[in-house]
Amino acid sequence: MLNQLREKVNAEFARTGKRRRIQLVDATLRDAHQCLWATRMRTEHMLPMVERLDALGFDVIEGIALVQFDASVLFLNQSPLERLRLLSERVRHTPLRGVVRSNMLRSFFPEPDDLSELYVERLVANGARDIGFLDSLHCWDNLVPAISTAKRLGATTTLAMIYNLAPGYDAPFYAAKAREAIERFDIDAFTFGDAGGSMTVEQVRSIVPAIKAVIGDRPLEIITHCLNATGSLVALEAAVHGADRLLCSIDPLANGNAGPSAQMLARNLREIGFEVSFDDRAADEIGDYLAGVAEENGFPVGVPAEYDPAHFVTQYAGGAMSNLQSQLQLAGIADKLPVVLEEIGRIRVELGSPVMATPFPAMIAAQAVMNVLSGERYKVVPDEVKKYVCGYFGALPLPVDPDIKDRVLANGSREIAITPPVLAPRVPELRRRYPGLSDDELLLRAMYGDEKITGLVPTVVDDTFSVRRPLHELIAGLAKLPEQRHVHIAMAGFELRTR
Amino acid sequence: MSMTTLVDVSLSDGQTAAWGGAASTAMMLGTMNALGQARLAAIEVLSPAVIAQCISRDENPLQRVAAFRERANGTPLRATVNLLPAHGHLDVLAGEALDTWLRLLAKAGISEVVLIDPLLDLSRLGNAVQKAQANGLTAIAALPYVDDPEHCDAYYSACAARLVLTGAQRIMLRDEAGLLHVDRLPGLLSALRSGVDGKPLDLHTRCHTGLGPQVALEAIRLGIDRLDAALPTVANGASTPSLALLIRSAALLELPLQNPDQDRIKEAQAQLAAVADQEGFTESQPWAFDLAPYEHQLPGEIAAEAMQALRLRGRLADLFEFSHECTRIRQELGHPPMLPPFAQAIARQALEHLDAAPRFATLQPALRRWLQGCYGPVDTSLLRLQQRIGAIANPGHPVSLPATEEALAAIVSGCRALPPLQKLHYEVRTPEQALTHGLLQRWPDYTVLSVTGPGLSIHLEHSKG
Repeated sequence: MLNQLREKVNAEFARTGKRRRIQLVDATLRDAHQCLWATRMRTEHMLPMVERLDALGFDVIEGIALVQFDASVLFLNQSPLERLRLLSERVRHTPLRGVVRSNMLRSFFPEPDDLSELYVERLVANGARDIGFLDSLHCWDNLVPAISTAKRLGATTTLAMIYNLAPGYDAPFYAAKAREAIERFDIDAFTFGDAGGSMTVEQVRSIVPAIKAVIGDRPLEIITHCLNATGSLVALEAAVHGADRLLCSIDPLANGNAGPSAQMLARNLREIGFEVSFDDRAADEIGDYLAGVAEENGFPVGVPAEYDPAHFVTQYAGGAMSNLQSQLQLAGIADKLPVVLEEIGRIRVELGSPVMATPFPAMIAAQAVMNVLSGERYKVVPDEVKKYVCGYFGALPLPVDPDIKDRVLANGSREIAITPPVLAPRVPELRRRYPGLSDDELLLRAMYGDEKITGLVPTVVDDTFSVRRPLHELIAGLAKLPEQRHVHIAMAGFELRTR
Repeated sequence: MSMTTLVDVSLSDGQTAAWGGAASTAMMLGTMNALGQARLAAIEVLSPAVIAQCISRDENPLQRVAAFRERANGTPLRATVNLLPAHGHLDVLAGEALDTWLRLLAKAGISEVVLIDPLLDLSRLGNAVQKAQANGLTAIAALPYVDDPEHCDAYYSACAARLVLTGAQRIMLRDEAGLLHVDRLPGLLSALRSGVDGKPLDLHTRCHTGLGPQVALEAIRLGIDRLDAALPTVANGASTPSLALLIRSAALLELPLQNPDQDRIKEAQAQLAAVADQEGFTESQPWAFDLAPYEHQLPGEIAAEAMQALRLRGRLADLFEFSHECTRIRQELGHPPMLPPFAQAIARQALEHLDAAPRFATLQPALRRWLQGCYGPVDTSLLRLQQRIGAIANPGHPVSLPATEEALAAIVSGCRALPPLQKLHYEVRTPEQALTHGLLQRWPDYTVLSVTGPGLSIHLEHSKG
């Protein structure tokens, strides 16, 4: 395999006369902890490492997306825009990316255009120089206000297309979607992502060249996840077949539900003949820091996954998997995970095989949990599922099973109209309601309400690059003392005796 | 299409790769009880690595076989035999020593042997096959897999055909470094099928790149006759694919796999996991994908040891530098195969060079023997080194061997005398028993020991008197 990959890269070198440079995009601050730590990395965890991250050689650093907004406000009591600003003050060389999720903000409800525009404005104002756009239905209409705003503000626009193991999602489909985006928006760069770790090498070999043929010199970035052991190989194959950038994260916050390790990709890409600008040893130092943060906080590190063809059935996203496990555990039904995953696969087909990327994995998982718990399928229907069936999120990829559609419409909330309403602007009303508030706070209050935003705690800024474990270090130090059997340490709120 | 059957290698390659072979015979008895009831095609219980581990623990390897046979419930027991031993007591296992060893294996309960000649010397293999069959053993001839441009499908087809001519009942493709991948498999298996002329074709693959399970499932789809696999606790990584994963996935993909008794497999897994828990053996984890194994091509546990050595040195970033050094050493030596007895020596030599020692300042014993021609003529570029270490007068000359069966078995096992038989007893403790045992072990070092938990309070205090 190594020889074949080398031969392909060398053949390209012989053809073009230059070695192609593969860019690495960092996902440590965004997707990696979303996949492995249920998005619980705090701003304080990020600040000490971010200047080093900036110096590693990444071409883009992903800073924030809506999942990080939600976790930051709802679970960590931190302002996501403060995080973005603090990150951007330290990331001086590498473009920092903020990600837009369709025309949605908090939860999965489409928002009016002016709020989408305000969201992009605040991302850029707080330091994002690259705006990523995601619409899992590939319905570009949903992205018009966000893309227009990013273009107006001079940010780089990067549009994501999501791999889907379903009829019709083939190389011509993605090529056509890329062409449409260029014609409509003159998009600067594209991402082709595999959220569920189900993309195969064969598919990469056909889809990546097809997209590149359409987008020409615009960069094509590849996102893979390692839920199925093949994510890293798929990323390498994508580079060999024309991709320009690979999304990755610092090991040990890589592999498992997350994407490939940056260190592994850098050394393997070099080995097969690409140019890569990346400081491997400095990355290992950040890796040691992340391992310390994980240990200190009881977070898991990425463990490589076993190859399992069941993923081709569920196609369940890395971040969503981590959250699903966490939620089932909280509900005391962690043992139901296999049944829920089976149900997810079934529901997905019934609902017309939507791409398993945000927000659809969470939506389908909610329906699956309700089907499993209630004992009768679609007896309880989450609001988002009814909205999806009614077209609130845009045109559906494939028709919904008619019987299932009937059940969803019958059992879903009657307050949800079958025809999606036209959304009226919200910003003017927000400005009237919150006169004098900054646009950052206005946006956050619109998204999360007054109580949560009033309760946010400012980040204590400390850039010291170490994980302090004073108690651990004290006990380890005492254990090293020879023949010292009697030690007594007392201070306010703390007493330690050994004998 | 015929169904693929499974062979368990948990007790040999599985625990060797995952635990460095730390599982004693007694620890494995419970697992073997369950495996014996699981309707597997065979269970591998002995390999050169397992023999070395037994000897290092003062255990008799033949007692291990006999103890497992008592629990096998008629399931065929398999042993691997490397005709080039790594322990240094013999360069080549042949003649009377091999005959005696095969006889003792058969007597202890082995019914199948995988015969490995790393140099693929067909005359030597043919003799070994005849001796195995004469001792009532099923002879499986191993065909080592190498990933390089010289070893094309036609090469493997021709090798398979020659192995059939040795009279072996089965042919086994051995991918000890986990280098097979699904792009390569269809052409390769088709070529092998044309070579084996109807003889059963088996596959042994590893999971160094994480692709082993995918390869194994594809091999089932392509009609491989037998596959080696291990219980999940000792599968993946440098080991073979997991039995549980293959059974589950073959059902999902509707592949033609003859399922063993899944309840017994679960029971065996539970037994093994309990031993791991009690002994502090780490559950085997899959490895992340990396192309480096295609460069160094180190087999099983030797790759695991090398990775650990690099990790301890904080030099994982130099994985390819190490791998290139392995390749360079092999080229300079004249391409010894990346199998025992050479693979570990090459890995150690490469690590020494990576540590900035002058190249070949010291030389691993197996490589010295290689350069001295003990395994046949060599085409090396290390002429000065070869001159430095000197020649052996009669490299092909057989060593004088002891006359008794026991002494011969000891030599084959790499020791002066086989360890005496032991009483085999092992008990998996309940959590309460483990806690009590741990407390009593620590008790002499403390004045007071106190443990509290939900519904539990233990307080130990030395009496004042």
